[in-house]
Amino acid sequence: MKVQNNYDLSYVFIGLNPEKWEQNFYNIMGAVAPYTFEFIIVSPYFPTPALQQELNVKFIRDFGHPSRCLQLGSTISVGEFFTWGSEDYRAEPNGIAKSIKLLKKNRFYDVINMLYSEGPGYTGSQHLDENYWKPYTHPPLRQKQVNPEWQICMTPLLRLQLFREMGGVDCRYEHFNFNVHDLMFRIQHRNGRIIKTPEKVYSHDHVPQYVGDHRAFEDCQAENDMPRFIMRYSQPTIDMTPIPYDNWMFQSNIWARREKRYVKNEA
Amino acid sequence: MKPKLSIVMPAIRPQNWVAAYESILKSTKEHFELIIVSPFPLIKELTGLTNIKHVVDFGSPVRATQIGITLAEAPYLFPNFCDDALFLENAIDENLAFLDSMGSAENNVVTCKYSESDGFSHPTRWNDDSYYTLVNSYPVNKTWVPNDWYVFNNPFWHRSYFESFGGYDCSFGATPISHADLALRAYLGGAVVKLSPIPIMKVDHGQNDHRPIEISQLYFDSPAFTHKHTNRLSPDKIKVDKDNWKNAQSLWEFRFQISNE
Repeated sequence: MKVQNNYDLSYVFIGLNPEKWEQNFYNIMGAVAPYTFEFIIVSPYFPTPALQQELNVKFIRDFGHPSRCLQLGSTISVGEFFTWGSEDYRAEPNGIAKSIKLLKKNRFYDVINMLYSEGPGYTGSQHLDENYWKPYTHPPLRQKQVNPEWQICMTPLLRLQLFREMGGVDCRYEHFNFNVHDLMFRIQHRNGRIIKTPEKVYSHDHVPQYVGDHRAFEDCQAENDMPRFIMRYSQPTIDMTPIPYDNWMFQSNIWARREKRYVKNEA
Repeated sequence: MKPKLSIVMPAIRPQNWVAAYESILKSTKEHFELIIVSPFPLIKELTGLTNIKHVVDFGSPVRATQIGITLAEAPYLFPNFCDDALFLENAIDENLAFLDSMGSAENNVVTCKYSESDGFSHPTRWNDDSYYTLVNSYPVNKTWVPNDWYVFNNPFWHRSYFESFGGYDCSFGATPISHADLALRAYLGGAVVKLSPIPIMKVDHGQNDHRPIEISQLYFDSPAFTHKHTNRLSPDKIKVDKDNWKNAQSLWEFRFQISNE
C-alpha cells in the first residue's frame, strides 16, 4: 500500500479479537479494490505486528462502547467515502468497490445499502426479501415518527462529509443497530435516498446468544438502545436536525457492560 | 470516570513512556487521560491502563498533536507533552489551581516555565520571565509582537477555548513554531495569558533524534512562519480548521523513510 494522504474509503473497524483482524483486513482489501482505503481499528486491544506494518492501517485504543468507537474512528478518517464493520463481517470480492461506483453516480445525501445476509456460519438469505428492508418488518421500528416509506440500512456506504454533516451516530445508543437506524432515518428525513446494491455485499456470521461477546450487546439493546429509540420515535414531534458531532465525548471512556472483563487496571 | 485533564503526547521514544506517565501520576491527583500519538505501538507496561488513548500515525509532530487533540475529551487541555520531558511533582495540580484562580472565563490560559538541559543535567534551571517571551527567539521576534507575550510551549487551556482557534496549524512540521503560531493567534483572538510562577517540567534537550526537527524548523517552518506573521494577522486568519491535519503528509519524510512501493 502506498503512502498517501487521501483515500477513496475510510473503513472503521470495531473489534475485540486481534487474531481475526488480519483476515478481516485482507478481506476488505479485496472488497474495496481497485479503490484505495484506510482501515481504522478502534479497540481496547492492539493490532498484530503484521497489521502495524500496513501504512493504511490506523489505530485508536479506546474502551468505550461500539457507538463511541465508531464516532472516534470517524474523527481521524480522511476518505471520500465512509463505512464501518466488525469481525463477523465477510465482504464479497469487489463488493464494496461496486458500491462506491454506485454511490458516485448518486447524490450527496444518498446512501448505498450494501446488502447482507446473517446467520450462523455465514448462512442466511434474508437480503433477498424486499420486506426485510422496510421498517415495519421490525416491530421496534414501527413508531409514529418512522416514515413507512423509509428503508433500513444496517451496512451503509456514504460520503464521509455527509456522515459528519449529520453529526454521525448518536452515541447515546451504545451498540450498532438503533444508532444506525436513527442515522439513516435522519438522512432520509433530509430527502437522502437509500439505494440497495443489486447483489449481496456482506455475509455476517450472526449467532444471537446471551453468552460471551454478545451478552453486552444483548443487554444494552434491551436496557438502553431499544427503549431510547422507541421513546424518541414514538413522540408526537421529533427533532431530526443534525446532532453534535462530538457527542461521543459525553459517553464514558469505558463501557461499563464490559468493564469487568476487559479493564484490568483503571488508573 | 471522565478525565479532568487531557494531555496529548506526540511520541517517538517508547523507552521514555513509563517515566513520562509516572511523572504525570506524581504531578496530579486529578483524573486525566494521556493521548499518545506515535508510529510505535503502545508498550506493554501501559497497555492495561484505561486512561491512555493510543493512536498510530506517521505524520509530523504537529499533525500528531492535532490528531490527539481531536480525541481529547476533558475540560482542561495540556496539548503538547513531549516524550523527552517529565512533569514536576505536583506541578500539574498547582498550575490548574493557578488557572482556576484567574477566574472561570474560558479565555484564560496559563503558560508555564520549564528547564532544558542535556540529560536533565540542570533540571531546575528556570530562566527569568523574558526568556519565555515570544520576542526572545527567531523567527518569532517580529516587530509588531509585544514584549510581554509569552510562548505557549507548555500551556494549560480550557479545551473549549483551545478548540475555538481550531488548534495547531499543521502546515508547520515542528512543534515549537506551531506553538508560537498558536500563541500569536490566541493573543490576537483575546486570550488572557499569564506566565505561571510554578515551573511545570524538565526537558531533556540532549536527544540525538532532533535532527528532523531542526531541519523542519530551519528550512521550512521558520520561513513559513515569517511569511505568515511578518505583519499582524487579520482576524479572519486567526482560526484554523480543526481538521487541517488532513492536509499534512501522513508520513513525515524528515523522520520516516518508508518508500512507496
